[in-house]
Amino acid sequence: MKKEIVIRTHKLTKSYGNTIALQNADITICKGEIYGLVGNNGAGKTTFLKMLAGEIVPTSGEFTLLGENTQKGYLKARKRMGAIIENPAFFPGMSAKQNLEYYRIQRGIPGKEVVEQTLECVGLTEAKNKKFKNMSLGMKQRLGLGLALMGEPELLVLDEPINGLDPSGIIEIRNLLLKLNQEKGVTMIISSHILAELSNIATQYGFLSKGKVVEQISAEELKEKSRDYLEIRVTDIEKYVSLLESKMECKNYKVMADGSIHILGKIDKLTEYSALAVNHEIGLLFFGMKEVNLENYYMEIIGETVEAEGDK
Amino acid sequence: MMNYMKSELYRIQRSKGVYILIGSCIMLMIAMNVMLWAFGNFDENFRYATTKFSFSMLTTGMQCVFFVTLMISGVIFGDEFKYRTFSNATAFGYSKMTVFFSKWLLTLFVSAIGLVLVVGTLIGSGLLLLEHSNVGELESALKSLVACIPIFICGVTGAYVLIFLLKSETAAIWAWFGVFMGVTMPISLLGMKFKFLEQLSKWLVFDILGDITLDEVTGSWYMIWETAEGFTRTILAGVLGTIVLLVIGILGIRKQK
Repeated sequence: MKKEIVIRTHKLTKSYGNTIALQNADITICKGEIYGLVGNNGAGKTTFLKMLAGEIVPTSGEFTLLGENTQKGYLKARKRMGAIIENPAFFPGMSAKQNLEYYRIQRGIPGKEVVEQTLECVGLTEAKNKKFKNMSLGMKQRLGLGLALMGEPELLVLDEPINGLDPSGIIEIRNLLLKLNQEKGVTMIISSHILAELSNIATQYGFLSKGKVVEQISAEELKEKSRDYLEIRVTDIEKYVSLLESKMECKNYKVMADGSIHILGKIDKLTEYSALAVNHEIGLLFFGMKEVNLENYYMEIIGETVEAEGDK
Repeated sequence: MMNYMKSELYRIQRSKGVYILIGSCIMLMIAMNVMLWAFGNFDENFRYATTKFSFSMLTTGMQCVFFVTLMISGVIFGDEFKYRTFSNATAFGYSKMTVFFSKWLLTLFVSAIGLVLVVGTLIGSGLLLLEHSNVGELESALKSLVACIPIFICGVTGAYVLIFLLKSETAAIWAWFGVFMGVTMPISLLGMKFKFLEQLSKWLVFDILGDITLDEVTGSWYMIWETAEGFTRTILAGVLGTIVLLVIGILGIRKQK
């Protein structure tokens, strides 16, 4: 069954003078997906989200947002969207309740009770009369989430939504987002540095590095690719790798940017690999089985990219 | 746009800045008339405890009122660039143009209320406390106000155009002084030498507000809008200035987009 496309970008590029913040991004997000945007600082994640939210304008390329691809259309589409980009922005002199009420009126959301419901949803009922300037980082983040969730948007654009939250807050917000996605089909695009947390929620991943989309993969595909591998660190990588190919006829390996060697595929006799180093007077620094999770996969992706840059 | 304006009205009602600004102006008017009354009460020779003198301070003090248009624009804009709340409006589907016009209209609305309250206080406390001169001073003050309202609108418009184009309230404040005083003062001075600049300076709003002339026949001072030609010119200068600034603002915001 063909899924409805909520966001589609084509060669989306943003540059500031000679600096390219995002280059030729082709991303597709379908209805009901939770898209995890992963990348280092400066990879282009926030730039991408800001373009969706209308804070900045693309230098080139185009995008479709909730079926709209004109400036006028984006304004209509954004009324069906909730967003937190970078730190939540509110009026410091107004309380949590007043700030939400301000935005409730602005967004034309009927019913004053929506504000109380939103505050309860994000766990801020007791702090509703606290002025924004007096709130902790975690409270501010919850209020930002509340603002994004208010009015039951079809699409949520969240930039580091669990930043500053305590562990129980992270679990609460995760459960809330999952509930919204599963019960109401809300589509989400979430950028986060906390990869372990993202892996609990995302159904799709987009990996960004140095302004480019390096890979897009579904959670299922990632799971399939998750496998045990043998990580070896030696004092003489070149010699060891040469011996791996010649003595053990092993070609299913990767040399990572950090100098470690990953032996992939089925590994029958672990001791042969350690013996290979020892018997040829190569120092063995690390030897152990590891599992590919999101963090490892991300490092692998970025590592590959770094290697490719180095090879040029 | 209506929802945006309603939300801004909600915020302004809860903003201390607006109440402090208008309240301070009201207190100033009361203090002024109370002082005049007190001096008149304790000194028989004190000639200024009259409605003529009190209301003439409004007539000759329009430049001060002009400065207040900048202050009220800044207070109502609410540091939105500093707090980044402006980006929320964009994220919720409001264009910069909608935000600009909404805030501009709302500022004019709140300024009108403030003006009525402040001028009302001046006139009310003056009539209550001071000797009634009955030489048409009330009509003169109200006529001055009517003539200068377009210039005040021009002041508010200038403030908002600069805030939106420079994306900084602080930079806009300096630019506002630059536009309305920094440009007009040299033109006025050079106008003493060059005829065409003299003619130009007669249309510059800040110059008009300070254009006071001595009537050699009666020996009294009068503002430019107290003549028929001057009254028309004052209104036209305000209207033209507002239109020019609005066009600059609209073009500038479109270019930013």
